[in-house]
Amino acid sequence: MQKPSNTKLISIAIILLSLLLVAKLISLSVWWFLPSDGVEYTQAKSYKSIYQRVNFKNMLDAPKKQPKIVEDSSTNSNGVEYSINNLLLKGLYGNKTSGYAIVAKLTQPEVTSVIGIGEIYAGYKLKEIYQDRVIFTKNSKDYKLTLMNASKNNALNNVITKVKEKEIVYEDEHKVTRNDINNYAAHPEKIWKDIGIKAYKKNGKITGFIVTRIKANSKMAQLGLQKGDIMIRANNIELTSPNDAINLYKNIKKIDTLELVVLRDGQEKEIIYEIR
Amino acid sequence: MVKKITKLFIYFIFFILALIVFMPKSSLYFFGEKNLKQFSVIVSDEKIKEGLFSLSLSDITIYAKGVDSAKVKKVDATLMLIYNSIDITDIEISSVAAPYLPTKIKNVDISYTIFNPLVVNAVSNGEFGEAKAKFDIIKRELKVYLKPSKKMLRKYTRSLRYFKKDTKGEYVYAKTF
Repeated sequence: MQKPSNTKLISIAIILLSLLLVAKLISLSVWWFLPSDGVEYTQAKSYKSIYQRVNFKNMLDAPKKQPKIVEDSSTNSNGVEYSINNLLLKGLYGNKTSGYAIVAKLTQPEVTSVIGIGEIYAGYKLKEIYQDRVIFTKNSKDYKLTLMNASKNNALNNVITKVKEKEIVYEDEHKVTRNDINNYAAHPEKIWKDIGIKAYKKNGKITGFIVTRIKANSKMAQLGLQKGDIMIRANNIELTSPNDAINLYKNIKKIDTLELVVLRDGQEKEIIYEIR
Repeated sequence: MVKKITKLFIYFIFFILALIVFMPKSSLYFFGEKNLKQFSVIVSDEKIKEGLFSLSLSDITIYAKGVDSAKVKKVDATLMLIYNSIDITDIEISSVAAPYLPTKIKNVDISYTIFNPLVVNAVSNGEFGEAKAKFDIIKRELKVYLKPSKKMLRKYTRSLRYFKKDTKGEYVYAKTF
């Protein structure tokens, strides 16, 4: 075998080194024009409520078990018995069986007391709460006290014997169980059997998600949604992309309250879901 | 003459291999990523490792149109001039897609060799069964041959409607781009 001369070896080495240099120069020029960093997805939105929602249920249930007597006397300091006509109803919260009323005496309207159902004020026991009035009971008789503004300062009312009023129903507040949520999360196909939703676009941009169909008597139908509703906001997050809707679906297990704003007949309507 | 051609060929191979070694693979990947973004596909959270002839990505999350669409454990891209491959392992498609297809794909191997320069091949298996795909570069035609799993046949008959059953009992999907 013929041994290659030093000159030949040097020339091969020079060629290889030149090729390496050219390859490196090409790579460097390619590198110069290419981006130095990639694309990362940033998610700025959160479906957690931006405010803390207070669970009134715990507050409402407590006084029922142990009624606290706010003022265990129906007489004033002079020993004079209070008439229901001498009481003012300044505010209320709740429904027929649970809630609070803000009451004051006519003689001292600025001194208010907050009483829960079952509690006694000036000898009257708070029995029921309605949209614009409360029912007190004393000596097996029912007394109606109307909210100050509702009765146009004619709040003081008469003894009533029978109350046949319809309970206040918060139509837009729905209680959803965790089981329902978990069931839908485990079988998402059930969602699409019960409800049809598609993106609603205005000038080519998604402005919400429209309910195209809803199965009668399904769980979805019980949630207050109607065909034609356009869901535009959930927990103050605008629903303007499929991602917003999907994220809402994905995070539904983590949230306990959902405020859904829908456009119905051109008007915004808020539907609140308490997930328990 | 033959000796000279052989010599030139060896130099050419050496040059190409040097080019692959020096090529900024991460930057090329970033370039691809930016192009994908135009189609509303974002590859995110990935860890990148560059080798002499390879590029590895791990723990990837893929967002399509802003939707968290899939998570991929590992992607290995190997460039060896004669044989190039992309091996993708452990893909988990978002649960949102669960009503339409099984969400776990064990692996997808895409390969390209200069001995068959006009075709890109892919094989895959997962909960859906086994699949082979061929992409004809000239005809711009994709053909997917699927052997569906029992789960696929039982639960995802609606998705199988996109495939045509051939005489061998294989499900075939064809699309021209």
